[in-house]
Amino acid sequence: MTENLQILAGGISLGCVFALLALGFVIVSKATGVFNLAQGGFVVWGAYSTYFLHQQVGLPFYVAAVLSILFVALVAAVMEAVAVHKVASKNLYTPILVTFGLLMMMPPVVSAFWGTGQLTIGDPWGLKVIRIGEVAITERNVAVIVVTLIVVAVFGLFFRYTRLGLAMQATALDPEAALAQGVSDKLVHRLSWAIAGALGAFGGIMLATAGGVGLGPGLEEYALLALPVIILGGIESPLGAVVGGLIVGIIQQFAVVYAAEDFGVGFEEVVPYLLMIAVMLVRPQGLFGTRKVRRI
Amino acid sequence: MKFPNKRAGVSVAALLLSAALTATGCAAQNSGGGSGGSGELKAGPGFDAKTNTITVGNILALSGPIAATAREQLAGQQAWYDKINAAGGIAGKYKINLITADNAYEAQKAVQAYNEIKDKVALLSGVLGTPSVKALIPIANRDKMVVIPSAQDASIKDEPQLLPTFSTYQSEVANGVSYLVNKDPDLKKAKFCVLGYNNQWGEDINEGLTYITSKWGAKVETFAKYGPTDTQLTAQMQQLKSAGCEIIGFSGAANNVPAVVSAATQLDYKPKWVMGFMANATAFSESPIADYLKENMIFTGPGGDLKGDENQTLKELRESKALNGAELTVQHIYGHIQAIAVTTLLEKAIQNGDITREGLTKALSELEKVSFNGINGDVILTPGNRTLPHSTTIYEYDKEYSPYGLKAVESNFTAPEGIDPKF
Repeated sequence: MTENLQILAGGISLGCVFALLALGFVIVSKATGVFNLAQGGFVVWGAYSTYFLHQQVGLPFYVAAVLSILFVALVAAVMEAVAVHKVASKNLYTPILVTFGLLMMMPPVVSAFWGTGQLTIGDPWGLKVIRIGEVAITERNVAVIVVTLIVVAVFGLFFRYTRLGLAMQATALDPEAALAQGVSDKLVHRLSWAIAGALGAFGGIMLATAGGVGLGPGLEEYALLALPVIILGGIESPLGAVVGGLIVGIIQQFAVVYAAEDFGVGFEEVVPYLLMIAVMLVRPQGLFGTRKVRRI
Repeated sequence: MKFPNKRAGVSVAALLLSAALTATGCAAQNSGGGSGGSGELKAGPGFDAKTNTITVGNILALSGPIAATAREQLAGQQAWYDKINAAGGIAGKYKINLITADNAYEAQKAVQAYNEIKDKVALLSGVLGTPSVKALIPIANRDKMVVIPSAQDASIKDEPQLLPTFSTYQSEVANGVSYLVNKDPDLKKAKFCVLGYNNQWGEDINEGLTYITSKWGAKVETFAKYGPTDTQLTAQMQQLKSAGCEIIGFSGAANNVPAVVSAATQLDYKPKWVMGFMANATAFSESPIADYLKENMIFTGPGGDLKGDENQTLKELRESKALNGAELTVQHIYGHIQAIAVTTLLEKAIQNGDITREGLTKALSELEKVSFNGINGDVILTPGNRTLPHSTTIYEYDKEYSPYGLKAVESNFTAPEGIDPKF
């Protein structure tokens, strides 16, 4: 029983990381209709700028993390304004390829500044562990879970009760109608990118805190692990991103221990994709996605 | 004008792009080279007759999670080539030039990288990763390209176009575990397990551990698998702990180790770990995981005392400009070993008067042995039955040896129980 609870705790933590990464994709997709592959670059910049501000400039870790999140949010908004906005409504593929180009640009720039070695980010959690009864969980994982819950709650309230949140939803549903009501599509697009940048940055910071020394090249690849989560939950559903992330994280962790060897080596790596395909067969829009209706 | 049906297509586009992402990107750094001939030497691609320069190529992970490892290997190679060039070149005449293409540690990108540099090089001085090496074997056979693999899988040792230089993963883990058991014979009764990648590398560790434990009637109790990008290893660690594993053979790179230590600490789990040298990183000495490494881990690899002056080759490597002031690591030695193999082969081919692809292949078939100045065991190149080094240097983690942290406690150790000849 304890072992299963331990695995469940690991799955929830992993699921929260997936959820944070997926939320960034979902927010931009929901508000602008663009599938933003540059999200992986925000993960990288969040982690490295925190390292820079904390380990090289000497700011306290939390201050460095907050400043990094704000910095990446600003970078993301600028990227949208400079490179993406003009092509956002061109067609389906052009904006995706532009964001892919932005993704390709970012890691080499980071490597040029900070090299390609493993780095110690210097987070306050290190290897500290909290025990809840028989179950142990690292402080870092607790932080991931708590912040994910806060982020989800804030998003829920933001989209439901604020003018800006409603404006973002309106722009997503019908840009022309929203524009006619005085909603600035530029503001909405930039804000959604800024939020995605902030989420990516936070995800990157948390990924880099694994054992206190998880910062290194290739962080951008982790954002792509969120792809099946996005499809599973619904590409424009923040709630779907969170629920999808948790489902994938928990099932993947249990699959490590309980999936039969007969299924093949590395079966747990395939589980998210199997889930995604199974859900798409039944609900093509994902668990929490909205079915599109077209008038002909 | 909005694209009709745009959001409906985004899911499909995302899927297509996630597939496309696996097939992108590779960068080559070209510093010249070419082809031609000379009056004395029959030459093919990679030889510049005007400057008497032989260009050799690397396919390494210049980007991605193990880029730092790859760059250290590259520096180790460059240090040897610099030494040879400073002495006038091979046979006092032919300088070596090194170019590199990026495979990002992915097999499909290795093929792209190969196509990018194949016409510029005489041979491949290094190809990083067993999957990349295996992907290139049929192509190398077709093109008669000699390849020095940066891989330690036993199954590739007799491939005719490869010049393997290192002890295998199987030998490494067998020696590491044998070292622990010979220090403390009570450990023969321990439970032995593997935490390894869900690929050939993990299988190699399992094979080596299965072999050595059979020598005292034990077996591998559990083989917990994980993916190279997994960051949450609680389930795997729980699996190992529940099985009562006391000595664990590990396959993985430095970027995986923080997650391993984090999960082990979370479960208050302290088995003895046997890891390859590539699982260590300089950053660890100042990180929270350093104490766990010191208490619970030993590392295996080529080399010797990294700070001592006993071995002249290590001393020269440590002081070489190519390291750019960096502390000597086993990765540097790894690259150095590859470069020694390259120049040994080129010397033979130049003696034969032929450094074409066919000439280099012929030289490889005629080469009987490659020696490495005491930093690696000899490679015996009996056709179809090559013998790779069976010895391993055992390192413990010691903060006093920081920042790199590896202190050689036993140089060139070979398990007294013996090593399977097929390793």
